[in-house]
Amino acid sequence: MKKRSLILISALIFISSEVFAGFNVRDFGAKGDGKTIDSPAINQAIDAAEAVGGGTVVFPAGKYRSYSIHLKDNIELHLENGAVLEAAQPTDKDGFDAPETSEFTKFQDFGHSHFQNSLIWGIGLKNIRITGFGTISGYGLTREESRIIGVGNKTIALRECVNVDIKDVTLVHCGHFALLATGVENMTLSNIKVDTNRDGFDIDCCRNVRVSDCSVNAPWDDAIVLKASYALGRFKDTEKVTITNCFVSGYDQGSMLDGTFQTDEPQAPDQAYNTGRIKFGTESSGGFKNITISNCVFENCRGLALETVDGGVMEDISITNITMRDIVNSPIFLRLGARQRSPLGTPVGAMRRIDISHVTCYDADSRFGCVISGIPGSSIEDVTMSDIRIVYKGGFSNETANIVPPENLKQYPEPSMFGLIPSSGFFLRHVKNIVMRDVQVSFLKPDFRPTFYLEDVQGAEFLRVEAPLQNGVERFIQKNVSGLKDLP
Amino acid sequence: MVLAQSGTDFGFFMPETGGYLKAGLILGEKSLWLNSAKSLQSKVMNRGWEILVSDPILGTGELQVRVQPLTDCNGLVLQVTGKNLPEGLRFVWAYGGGACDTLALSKTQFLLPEQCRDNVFSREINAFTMYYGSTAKLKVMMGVSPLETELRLADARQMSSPLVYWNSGKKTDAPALAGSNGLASGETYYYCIYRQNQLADYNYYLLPALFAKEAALKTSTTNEKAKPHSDFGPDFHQQ
Repeated sequence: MKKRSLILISALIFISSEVFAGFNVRDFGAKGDGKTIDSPAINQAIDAAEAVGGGTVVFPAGKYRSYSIHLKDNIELHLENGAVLEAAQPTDKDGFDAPETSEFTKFQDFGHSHFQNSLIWGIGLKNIRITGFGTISGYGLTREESRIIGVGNKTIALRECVNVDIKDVTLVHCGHFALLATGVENMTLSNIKVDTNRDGFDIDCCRNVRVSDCSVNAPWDDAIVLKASYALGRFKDTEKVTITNCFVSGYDQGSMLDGTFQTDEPQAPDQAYNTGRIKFGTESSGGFKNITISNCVFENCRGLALETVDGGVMEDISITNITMRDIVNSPIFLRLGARQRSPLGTPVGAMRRIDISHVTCYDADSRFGCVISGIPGSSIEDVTMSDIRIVYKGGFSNETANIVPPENLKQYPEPSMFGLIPSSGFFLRHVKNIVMRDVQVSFLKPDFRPTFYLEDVQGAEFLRVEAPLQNGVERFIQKNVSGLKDLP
Repeated sequence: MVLAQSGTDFGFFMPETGGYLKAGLILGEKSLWLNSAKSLQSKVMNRGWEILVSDPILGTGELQVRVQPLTDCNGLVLQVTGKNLPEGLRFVWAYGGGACDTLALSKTQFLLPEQCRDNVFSREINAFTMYYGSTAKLKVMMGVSPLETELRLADARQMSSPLVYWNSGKKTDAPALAGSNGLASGETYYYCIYRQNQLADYNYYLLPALFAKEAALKTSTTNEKAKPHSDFGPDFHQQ
């Protein structure tokens, strides 16, 4: 029996050393003392692992100040609990890698167009992992627009990589993006906590992506956002994506991670209140296809936004089991627009086959209601909304019922783009074939606007759609509507 | 840009407001807005000003504040140095007040709470950005201060003294920014507030040369080539 135990212990030690040995960055000269710039040592460890076909680069507990880290094929960065990889502040002598040249910068923001000016970056790689319960801090990155060489603006930037797995890490104060993944095939993001000063995850032109069990607090920009930019120099859809079991919010920066969930800073830089939502767009030269969002919580942030405005086709989207609280603009915002920030001649896109079900929302801003709006000649098609309950703030008078919101075809898409809307619940314009089933709307304060504004709507079936109406207020404003069925 | 000055308080107007900057000192439990100093001697220095400050909080010491407007953008750069300064002295400043259409000059207070509503301050170590205006017409001012600066949000309704302001916290409807760094005799510190463009894009290590360049200019000029970064898209600073 004793001999058998010894064999077992020996086996465990062997297995343990096999799993955790890796390439310890301290063996390559990293200090982890919070003072030394450790990126040369970290990059040496990565090179050493690559030289033997790949491996795990291990960060033991400590604070590793770093400039750009260059991922390679078959590399795993593993941050042990207590390890902090921190973006250092650039100096006149040292800093992050310069942004690589790109011919396509005019079609998307500076941050989207370059990858090398980042803390961790990889281009054209395969089999990459970033794991462990450590923290990656973008302390020395900027969220702003500086073009000074040496300034970095992304925590993790990946372009045209295959097989990416990021799990368990915590990302804080990450600059423009906690993660920018563009043109990535097969990516899993799981059990990641993000508390940041601009975007959380930007998943751009990616295919086959799993996002699960993540918490993203991003009060000053979108928390989880799917895009289809022209950064690759070609049109590419974002498709085959599932987002599930996630929490997104717009609490004061850092207050999700410390567990205090503060609300002292309600305003966002764009002056439209805290962001922190799940969104598709704005960059939408390519399209969005076969995407599901399920079992997610939105809190103290903007609502769900699906936008295609640069020519992309959005279709076959399924969203279910969403709960929202303290939403600062439209709980649900669907916009097909014609901004066309794409190569000249790109036609207007399309939005169709969108299913949204089992949404409960409490304390939603009432200025804009839920918006589903295409543009003249390009309607949003085949939308189903079912089992939805929304409690709005309410409080608007019937004087606003005469407002005719502008079309603003080319304007940046946000619920605020139409100004105050004339209805209390839903604003539907340029829509073809919409079904609303088992939908309940109520108000914390009486709202004297009609529940629905319908304009240029062809085919609208409402079944068990309940909303309280004040005396003398009509249920519908209708302009150029055909095929309306309103059934109890 | 019109740069309004009242002692060591400054207001930016270009032609819409770009906020207000107000400077002070903290020494232990004592503090003082520089404008209330016992002695302020101001003189014109080419295109800018030089202000000599003396006050009991400085003991026998003296603080020199030199200010230059910027050529390549709307903004200013400050140089602060001192001699015989007491140990533990800290320079503290307040910045904010973008929420108004016209430059408001009050004799009693240069940074009014009603000018601060919905101002948003991004803080990045020793750099900061103020967002203000409206969603349709968003405005941005940027700033850089010494590397050791601590930045925090503060309450423009609590400005009776620098110390009160520094400790006022962020629970307010009048958010403003507070910055503070230690001052040592013989050391030189720089502060810059500006509107970023292709020519004006600063880190702290660029400020000494920037100040020297501006101080050497004898006449007021504006660089007409200064434009926003060419690849700032139409939706710059949107979400």
